[in-house]
Amino acid sequence: MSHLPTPRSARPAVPSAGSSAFSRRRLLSGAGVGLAGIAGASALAGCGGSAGGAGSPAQISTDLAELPTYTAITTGPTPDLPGTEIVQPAYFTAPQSADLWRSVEDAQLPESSDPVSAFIISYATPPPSDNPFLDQVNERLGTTLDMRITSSETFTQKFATVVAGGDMPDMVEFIAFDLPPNHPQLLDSQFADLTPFLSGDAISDYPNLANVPSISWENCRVNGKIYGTPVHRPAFGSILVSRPDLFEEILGEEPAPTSKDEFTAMLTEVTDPKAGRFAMTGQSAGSAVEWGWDFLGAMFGVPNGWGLEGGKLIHKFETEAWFETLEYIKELWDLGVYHPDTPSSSGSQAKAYLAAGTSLLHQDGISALLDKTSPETPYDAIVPFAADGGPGIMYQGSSLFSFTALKKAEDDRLVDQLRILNYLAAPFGSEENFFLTYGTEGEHHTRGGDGSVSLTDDGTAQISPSAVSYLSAPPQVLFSAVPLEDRLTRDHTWQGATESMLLKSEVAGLYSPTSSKASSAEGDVLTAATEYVLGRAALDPVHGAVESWKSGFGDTIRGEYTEQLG
Amino acid sequence: MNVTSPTRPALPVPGPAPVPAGHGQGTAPLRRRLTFGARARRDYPLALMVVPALILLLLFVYVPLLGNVIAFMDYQPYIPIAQSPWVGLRNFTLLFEDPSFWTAVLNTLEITAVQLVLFFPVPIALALLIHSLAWPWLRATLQSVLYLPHFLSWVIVVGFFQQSLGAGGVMNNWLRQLDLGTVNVMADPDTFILLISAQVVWKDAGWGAIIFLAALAAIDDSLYEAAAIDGAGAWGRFWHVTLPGIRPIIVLLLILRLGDALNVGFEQILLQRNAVGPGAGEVIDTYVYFHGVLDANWSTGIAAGLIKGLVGLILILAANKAAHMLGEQGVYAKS
Amino acid sequence: MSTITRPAWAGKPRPVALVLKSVTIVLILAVILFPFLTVISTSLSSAEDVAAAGGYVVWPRSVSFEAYQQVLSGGIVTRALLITAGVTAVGTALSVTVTVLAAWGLSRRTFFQGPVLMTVMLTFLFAPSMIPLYLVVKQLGLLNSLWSLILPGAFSVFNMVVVRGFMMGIPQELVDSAKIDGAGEFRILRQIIVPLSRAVIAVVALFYAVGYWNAFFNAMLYIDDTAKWTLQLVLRSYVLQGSSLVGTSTDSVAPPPQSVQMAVVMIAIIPILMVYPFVQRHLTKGVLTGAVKG
Repeated sequence: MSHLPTPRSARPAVPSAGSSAFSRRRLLSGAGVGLAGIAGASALAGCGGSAGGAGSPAQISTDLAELPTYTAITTGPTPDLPGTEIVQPAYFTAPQSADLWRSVEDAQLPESSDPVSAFIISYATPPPSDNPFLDQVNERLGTTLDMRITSSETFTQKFATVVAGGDMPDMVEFIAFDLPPNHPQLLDSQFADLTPFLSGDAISDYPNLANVPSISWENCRVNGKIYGTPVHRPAFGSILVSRPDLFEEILGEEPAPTSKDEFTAMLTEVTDPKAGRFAMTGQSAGSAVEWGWDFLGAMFGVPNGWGLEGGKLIHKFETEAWFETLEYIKELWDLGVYHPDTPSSSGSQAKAYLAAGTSLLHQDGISALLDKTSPETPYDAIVPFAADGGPGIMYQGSSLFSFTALKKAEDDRLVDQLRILNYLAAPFGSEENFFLTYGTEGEHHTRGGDGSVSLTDDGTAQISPSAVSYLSAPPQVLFSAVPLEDRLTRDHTWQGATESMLLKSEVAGLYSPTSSKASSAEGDVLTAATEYVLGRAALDPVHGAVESWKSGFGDTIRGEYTEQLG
Repeated sequence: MNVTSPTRPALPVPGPAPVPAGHGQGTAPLRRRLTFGARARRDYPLALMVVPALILLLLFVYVPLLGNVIAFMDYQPYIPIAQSPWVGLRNFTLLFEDPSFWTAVLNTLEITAVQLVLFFPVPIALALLIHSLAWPWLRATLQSVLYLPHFLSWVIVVGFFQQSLGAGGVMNNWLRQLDLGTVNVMADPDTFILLISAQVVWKDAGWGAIIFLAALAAIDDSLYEAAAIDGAGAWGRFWHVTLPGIRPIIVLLLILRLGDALNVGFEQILLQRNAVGPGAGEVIDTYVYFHGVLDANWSTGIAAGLIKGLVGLILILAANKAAHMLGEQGVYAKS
Repeated sequence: MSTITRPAWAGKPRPVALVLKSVTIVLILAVILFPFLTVISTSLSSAEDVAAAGGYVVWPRSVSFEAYQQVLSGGIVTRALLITAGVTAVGTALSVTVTVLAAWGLSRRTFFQGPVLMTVMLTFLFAPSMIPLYLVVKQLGLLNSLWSLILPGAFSVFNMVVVRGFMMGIPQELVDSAKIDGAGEFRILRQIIVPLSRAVIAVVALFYAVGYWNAFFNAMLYIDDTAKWTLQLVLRSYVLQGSSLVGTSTDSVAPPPQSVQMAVVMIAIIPILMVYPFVQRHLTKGVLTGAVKG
């Protein structure tokens, strides 16, 4: 699931009759993003904008650092629905004040009070310039957090300038689904290798961080070294979100297909173009259309990216199953069960179709189950199944929202910053976490008689926008301040049913320098596939595109990965 | 009816066609060529006037433009640029060898050509329409309403089109009710250019009319009076006063548009390209986006930008020349 | 011309022309206003109504100001509005000044006209890319300063060429006679040329003002301090809340739906609507009557 940065106009002086793209030119003539250390800087004395260090792409490392030893923290409120390392525990009520416990001792707070700057993406509105909540956080930490917040839309470009300008703050957030290009080289040259501080038992210095499941840590390990601390999310990749209430209305029961044929029948039954209702919706994504490849591919046994066949690495494009999936998608499109505007819809339009009931299924991330636009509307997900009726497969995701990397610095400085991150990762139910979520009683939240907690206006304006929860966070649990009990239960049940079906990519955590150059070749394959589905082209171009990808990049990438698999 | 007023009005007024070549400096019959020094002394206040703009351009365009040198290198991010290998024209040849690039170029040119016909005249027509209304309040209302769509972002505009004309949109739902089958204009490669032109007209025609309204306002009323006295009717006045009055600005904007010929809108097309496929939907900017930006292949993007600029330059020079031949000053005239 | 009566030379319009024009006008108004009606209606609906309607509401079932409340509460938008208004005012003044000066300076035959014009036109065609520009701005010490939102784009070649195009029509006789009277170049510009060019200057001022008002990219790139965020940055963050793939489980604020997006659109447009009438005044006829005769 790619989250594309959208370029915006670069100049304030705008219009010309008939030339609406006038202002786009700046961004695109320079390809906009990611130029570091430009030589034109020689005309600018003392520019120092070059991202010093490594003169060549990072070397592939075959040593994998040991992951931090997972040590679950069991103190805390009992979940209403229990969790495992994969399945999130669910809590229906906020922790009671009396039950809060301290998870961070004073000795574990940062020693120095030097300010720490952080570059963070925020999905919230900007915080007020005077933020008492942040002041209180700083007080507790004994230092000052200088949060440089960027809106999610502009993160990639802003990040590029931060790197190029040499203004790297101490902590930088790397978004898992929107990693900067060539990020292994970037990490190698600018960021600290945290392996000595966090690997294996060293993590015991940071118990809250040790509480984060290993799957998340795996994806903080780049090219063999641990570069950051995780912001955890459930390990599930893309899921097929459904509107169980509408299925019930039409079919008399909630959807639980167990084979491809059952699935197809179900889709056709609920589709009624005249009523303006379509079974499934995809969306326009990247350079092609996202038809639900992950869910449907898993049905046919397509590997998660790279798989192993006869001991050799094989990419999904090279498998028969992938072409079976393609044929199936075409079949579904021809049957008319996809929303007809799928090729031109954006992600949010697709979600809107689901919310309105125009579509009943949509492939999305697991967080879609917690969508709060209409809390009363039930959302659930389809439990995967195999096309032939056997057990299903669920592609494992990165189990991360982001990881936070630390700029190269002295050891004590790094330790202090890790302590800050440890504090922010205080688990659900702890006093610190309660404060980080709700702030100070009276000022940021109020307690209801039944123990429920609600944020005041100040709380809403100051807490989430301060963006500290994107810097570091405890393992995410199923909890919502807005009552969502039904949704949480469904989410939990689905996770339990799917837990055993998780399938990793065979190359997870390995580094291939060539793969970052392959995205347009991959895009070409998906574009050709979309043209085939829409009936505008034959199947041959798809094979052709796969061949191009293979000879141009695929074989090289395979070699690079194989080297590391040893 | 004898219309005797000339196409070039007797009274000198801003706007209409320029004085013929050779009449630049007043009416002195004897023109000695001044020395450079003399001209410099005479013109230096005017030179001073241009200085602030030049400084801004120097600082914020010319200096950063030096960064475009990476078009000739195989740029590696995150390391000093000097360490990236020099590859000369290879980025350019790679572009030229890619058939998708040529598809994008052809699409771009096609779109520009079509929009020159379908879009360019519309703001002019709108301005003329408004200008011809007798009631000032109607003129004012229309003006204020017409430019509103300009302020909607493309995401919203494309969203509107999808809601109304999309396959699941209002129009098609209606057609389905009537069993008339559906028409999906949003995903039809054959009508794509018409679709995006319609969108551009809706969004920007009103805004574009503003400048023509200014041009129309600059035409001296006494010219109309004179033409009416000479017996010209509404059409005659239009042809002999109005049109010549706005011809210079039309030519000017046309030339500038040609300089921008390879820019046809990025966001608008990006939002709709996947639905019609790259065969119809890829333009140079989206090509660069998908093959340059996303691949972290910055050199490609900058190389494409240089190509666009070069083509634009050629077009502007050519168009300017053509304008001279038609008697207009165009953007730049040596006269 | 503020009277309703037609000018003497106009003659009566033919009924066919009247009908055609009326029909066209009605169609145009309908095509433009209908979607705007939708924008306004959607902004005045509650989040659930909008979701149930599939994203756009044509006529609100029940009027709700929650979208506007959500956006305007907390004073963040107000602060951003003031910042943007300031940047726009200063920027427009600066831009118009620089542009008018350059346009006039380049509209007469001078020893430098050719080369300078060519140099200037080149910048129209070749725009620098993001990061080199960023480095320049940084070197000039403009990072995180509101001047970084004004200076880099202060001069638009397009706008200058347009003003110059209008000015080129101003006859040299006018200038010469003023010089004979002893006026210097700057005075000529100020007292003769600018009043004559009122219309185009007003239009170009509008173009610049709208550009500064809508500017987003520069602010995103150069401003770090959220206290200095401009209106567009702030407003877009409201629009994006709902696109979060995160859904922090503790958010008690629902992600904003279309209603907020539409409210955001309206908030951004209304100030421009208020400014436009001032521009319009300059687009009246008869600016030049009597200019040369006397």
